[in-house]
Parts: sequence; C-alpha cells; structure tokens
Amino acid sequence: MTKRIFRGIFLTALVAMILATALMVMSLYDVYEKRITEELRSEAGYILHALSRENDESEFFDGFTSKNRVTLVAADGTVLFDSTADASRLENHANRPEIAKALIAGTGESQRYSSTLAETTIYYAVKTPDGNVVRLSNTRSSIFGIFLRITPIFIVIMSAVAVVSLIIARYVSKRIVNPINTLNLDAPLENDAYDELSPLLLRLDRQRKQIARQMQSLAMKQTEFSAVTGNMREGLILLDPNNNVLSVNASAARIFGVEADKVTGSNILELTRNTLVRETIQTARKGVSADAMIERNGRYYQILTSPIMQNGITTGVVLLMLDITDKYTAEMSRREFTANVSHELRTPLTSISGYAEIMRDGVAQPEDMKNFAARIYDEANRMITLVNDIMELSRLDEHKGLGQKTDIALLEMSRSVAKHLIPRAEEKGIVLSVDGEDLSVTGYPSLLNEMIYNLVDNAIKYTDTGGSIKININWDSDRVVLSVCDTGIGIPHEHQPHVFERFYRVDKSHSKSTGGTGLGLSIVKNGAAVHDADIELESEEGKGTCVRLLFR
Amino acid sequence: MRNRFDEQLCLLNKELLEMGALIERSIKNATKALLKQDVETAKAAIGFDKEVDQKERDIEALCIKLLLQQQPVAGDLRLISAAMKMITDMERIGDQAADISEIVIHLSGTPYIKKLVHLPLMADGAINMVSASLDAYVAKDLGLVRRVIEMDDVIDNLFDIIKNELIELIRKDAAYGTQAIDLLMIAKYFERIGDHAQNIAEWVEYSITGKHKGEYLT
Repeated sequence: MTKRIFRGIFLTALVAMILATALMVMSLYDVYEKRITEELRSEAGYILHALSRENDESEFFDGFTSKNRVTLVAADGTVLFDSTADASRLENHANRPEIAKALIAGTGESQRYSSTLAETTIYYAVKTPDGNVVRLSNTRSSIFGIFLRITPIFIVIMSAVAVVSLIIARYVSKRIVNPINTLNLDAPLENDAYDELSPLLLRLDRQRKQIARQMQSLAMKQTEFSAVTGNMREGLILLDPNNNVLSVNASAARIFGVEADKVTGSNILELTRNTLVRETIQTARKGVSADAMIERNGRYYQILTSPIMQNGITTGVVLLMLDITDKYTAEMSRREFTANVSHELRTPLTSISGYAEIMRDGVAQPEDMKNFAARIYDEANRMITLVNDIMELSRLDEHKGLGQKTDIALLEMSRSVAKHLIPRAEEKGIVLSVDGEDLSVTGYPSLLNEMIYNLVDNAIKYTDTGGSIKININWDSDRVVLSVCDTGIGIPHEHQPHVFERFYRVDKSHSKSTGGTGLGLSIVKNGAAVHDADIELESEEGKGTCVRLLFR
Repeated sequence: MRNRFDEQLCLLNKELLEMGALIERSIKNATKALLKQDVETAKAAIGFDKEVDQKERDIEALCIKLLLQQQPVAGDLRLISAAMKMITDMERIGDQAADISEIVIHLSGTPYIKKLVHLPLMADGAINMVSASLDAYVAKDLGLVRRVIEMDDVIDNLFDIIKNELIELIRKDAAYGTQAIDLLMIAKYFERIGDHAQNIAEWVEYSITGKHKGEYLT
C-alpha cells in the first residue's frame, strides 16, 4: 500500500518537475536569445556612433573592453582587432556569413553551434563608415547545456521530493488502511468506513449470515445426534477408514471402561484389543455386516458391525453393542434346564419301559408282577411330580396362573402344611413342630403353601431318625420371617451357593432314595422372588439346616 | 514437519497396540490349548508367532526411521526408545506362547498326570499381566504399572508351588518324570511371560515419567 502510493506520488512529482523545467527552459531560452541579440545590436549601435566621431578606427579600439567579444574586420576579411584574442593570429574572416552579409547589406547576423562546448555563439556584424566591419558576438549555452547545468540541482530536489513523498505515502496509506483495519467484521453493515467498501461489506454480511445459519443447523444436528446416541442403552462407535474413533457414545465408553472424550480420534485398539471385535471390523471393511459376542466384566455383549458405504466404497464402520447378558444367561439356563429335564424324565421312563418289557414278554414270575406294577406306578408318580414341578416353575417364570393375592396367616398355613406332613415325619421318627406369632403377609396362597411344603418336605428327607424340625414365624427387624430349621445332615459349605439351582443335588446318589426332583428349593427360590422375599440359608454339615424366608 | 511426525507417532502407537493384541491372542490360544489339550488351537497359536515376529520387524524399522529422520527429543525420544524395548519383550512373549503350544502338542496324546489347578491360575495371571501392561500403555496409567509389577510376585509364588508339587509327584513315581518336566517347562514359560510383561510395564513407566525402575536414565 505505502509502496504503491509512494510510487504514484513520486512519479507524478518527477513527471511534473521534468515537464515544468523543460517548458520553462524552452520559453526562457527564446527570451534570453532575443535579449542577447538586442544587446549586441544596441552595442553595435553605440560603437558605430562612437566610430563616426573618431578618425582612425584602429585607435578607437585601443584599450577597448566589452562584455561581448568585439572584432574589427577589414573589407578584405583581415582581422584588425579582436577584444578576446590576438588579431594578428586570427585567420581571414571574409567568408563568415555575418561579415559577408554586412559587407553587402550593411548588417549581418548568424549563429554557430559548437558541439564540444554545447554552446551557441550569436554574431552581429555592422559595416562602419570606413568600409570595415565591426562584429560583436556573445555565447550562450544550448538547451542541452542548460539542462546539464540544472541536473545536479534537479537530483537534489528530486531526492527531497522522494523523502517527502515517502512520508506522505506512509501517512496517507495509514489513513486509508486504518478504517479498513478497524472494520467490525461481526457486524459488517454497521461500519461507515468508505462508501467504496459497501459492496464488499454487503457480501461479507451475507456470507456471515449464511455461515451462521449453516453452523446453527450443524450444531442442531450434532445435538440431535448426541442426544440420541447419548441416551441409547446400546453402545455405538463410529470408525473412520483408518479405524480411528470418530464418535463413541456414553454407553460404549462405559462398556469398554474408557472416557469418551479421551478416545475420540484415537485408534480402536485403545478401546479394545479384542480379536473378535477386530475381525468383525475387518469383515465390515469388505462391505459385509458381521456380528460377534464378547464378554466384558462379566457381562455379555453382542457386537453388530456394519460398513458405511458411499458410492460403493466403504468409508467407515459402525459398531453397535447390545447388552445381551440377561438373554444370554436365560438362554444358557434354559438349555441347561432342557438338558436336565430330558435326563430326569428319561430315568423313570427307562425303568417303566424295562419293567413293562419284562411283563409283556411274560418272563416275569406271576408273584413278581405285583411288585413290577408297583415299581411302574412309583416311577410314573415320580414323573408326574416332576412334570408338576416343572409346570409350577414355568408358571413362576412367566408369573402366570398364580391366582389372586390375599392376606395369608402364615401360622395357620404352616400348621396345615405340618398336619399333612406329620405322618411322614413320624414314620421317620422326626418331631415336627410349629410355633411363633400369628403374623400375616400378602401373597398367593397356593404358591406359598407349596413353598412351605417343599421346605418342610426337604427337611424331612434330609433329617435322620430322632431329629427334629421346627417351623417358626416371628418378627425380625420389621420383617416377617418364616424359618424352617432341622437337625439333619446339613449342606456342605461348597454346595450352599448352588442348592437353589434347578436339578442341583448335593449328593447325586442320594436322590433316588429320597425321591426328590431337585426342583423343590428352586420353586422356593422363584416363589420367594414372586413374593419379593429374601432367602437366607444357614447350614452346617452334620448339625442341621435353617432356611429363612424374610418377607417385606 | 511436526504434523508428519505426529502422524508417524500415531502409527507407532497403533502398531504397538496391534502387536499387543497379537500376543494377547497367542497366549490366550496357548492357554486354551493347554487346558483342553487341543492340538488344533495349539497349532494355530504357533502360527501366530510369525505374525508377531513380522510386527516386531515393522515396528523396529519404523522406530529407526523416526529416530533418524525426525531426531526426536524429550518425551518423543522416550516414547520411541521405550517402544523399541517393549517390542523385544512382546516378541519374547510371543515366542514363549509358541513354545507352550509346542509342548501342548507333544503332550496331547497322554492324559495329564494330575489335575491342573495352579497352572490355569498362572496362565490367567500371565494373560492379565500382559493385558494390564498394554492397558497401562494406552491409558498412561502409573497405577496399572504398579499393579502389573505386584502381580508378578503372585506368578512367581505360583511357580514355586507348581515346582514343589511336581517334585513330590516325581518322588512318588519316577514314571511321572517325563510329563512333570514338560509341565514344569510350561510353568516356567508362563513365569517368563510374567517377567516380560513386567518389563513392558516398566518401559511404559519410563515413557511416562522418564524413570526406569525408579532411576533416571542419562
């Protein structure tokens, strides 16, 4: 800016100076030349006038001095006198144009240019009364010579002009630029710098508004996106072509135990080095969706990996993580349950079919027939019990067919259960007693009845002759507690966490003799869950077992 | 210039983690093969070693290129030199996983002379140590580094227990000797894996703090 303005000012000044000087010199030159000629003429006049009084022209010139060069030439061209040079040494002047003209016409003028001195000499010649010729001459510089003489001054002036124009240029450019620099670009239309800038400012304003609009819509989309992904229970990760994380939502960050902000932009390997996950990503890179199941911190996740395609090229990968722990464990226990059920059903069926085969083939002795029939009957009964238990359990799983909730007097219900079981207890020589407070809970009568029955039934099975079983109902820290305690064989410590699992038996060989299905305690546990009650198990091998139901 | 350097550091980071993932897979497979006496898995685990070796060479080349071309200083230099040390340990871990797998193949025909109780614990511990040392690298977590170093004592104790058990077995019946020695070798390999994981953790500490085993390297 400064440079440009400086150049402009300086060039203008230079051109102006040159033009002005040239014009001035040229016009003055004319005047100057005329004045010299005038001067020569008038001096010639004076000399002529003086000569007319003198007799001897040569004498007149003795000691003559003049500003101009004065020469006296005889009619034949011989130089008689010269004011600046020795006359005798000068050559014949007859053929000089001004002298020749003067000899014929009385006066003569001429100019001669000396290129070496860059000077022009002006001559003026007059014929004297004696017939001689007086010539006056004066030299003046040529135009070029004048210019040459002016040049140093000119250069000095121009450098001064350069300095001044530099200062001016600085000042001016600052003045011009300052308002532009202080433009408020946030509000382009509120400036009043230059009218010339208004098209630019208008455009700036328009673009600014456009950018603001776009930014806003982008921000809105971003907010929408993070609101959706942030509140998802499923984990979501977006990867760029280099497997760097573009976006990771809160759930995914939680699943991999990282901070979402920290891992954004870093490689997927910093989230997980799981081989399965990496394999699905590689498959997705090829444009095919893939899925895998991984386990992390005891929870199971299904990972669905899909490619993001643009114009047929995979530009990114989306990973979706679903927590399938509940489904997975349910699936696992269902499989296990099915396997167990089949096994449990097959055992009595094998016996039944075996005995039936013997009877059909008529191999059995007639006296054994009754015995065999009894076995078949027993096994069938066992199957019925088993099927009933399974049905009960599946009803509990689905919370169906439980009837209406009512208030249940636990003491009364326990007594009625005990009444049913006392004969069996007495058979084994076990004392069964019920006592405690008359407390009631809200629940499903038939289910609760079965739960108490199962607990007591179990106690009878695992208590030896001479033992005792106590059912007790009381308050314990604001909760109704029903406990069934026996003095039986107890449960070994390592088995205690598992006894409520379906088909779990402490002593595998014991099951036949006691005739249990392995589902009794499982029903108690599920029933307790339905009633929102907690179960406590306290047992010591050889001393007895206590099961407590703590109702809310 | 710096941009390109950062990019290459990112690449180094990624490659290191990939190598880590490879060795994690190797040990897991070797352990699985050992517990299930599964020859196929063991063979696969041996195959992984080639990948690990290749990765080590790649990373080595990358580190040397970075050192020569970028002449890093301070933290960057520490990171690169730590990486060069770490890959050596990782490569050794890969080798030991392959060695375990080879013994597993060798043992596959005969049932184990005893129920493996402490060996799975050792394997678990070794896998956890390797994973934790890599996690420490990712998270730049000095707490994890310390935990890895502590875990090594557990592994060392387990090795002593296994050694004594095997000595007892051989004393009882010399015929147990052949397999007992193989099992001892496996235990030793796991113990070595633990040591290497500890080394990795120590280099992670160095890359974070500039201190190796509590001392400044000059």
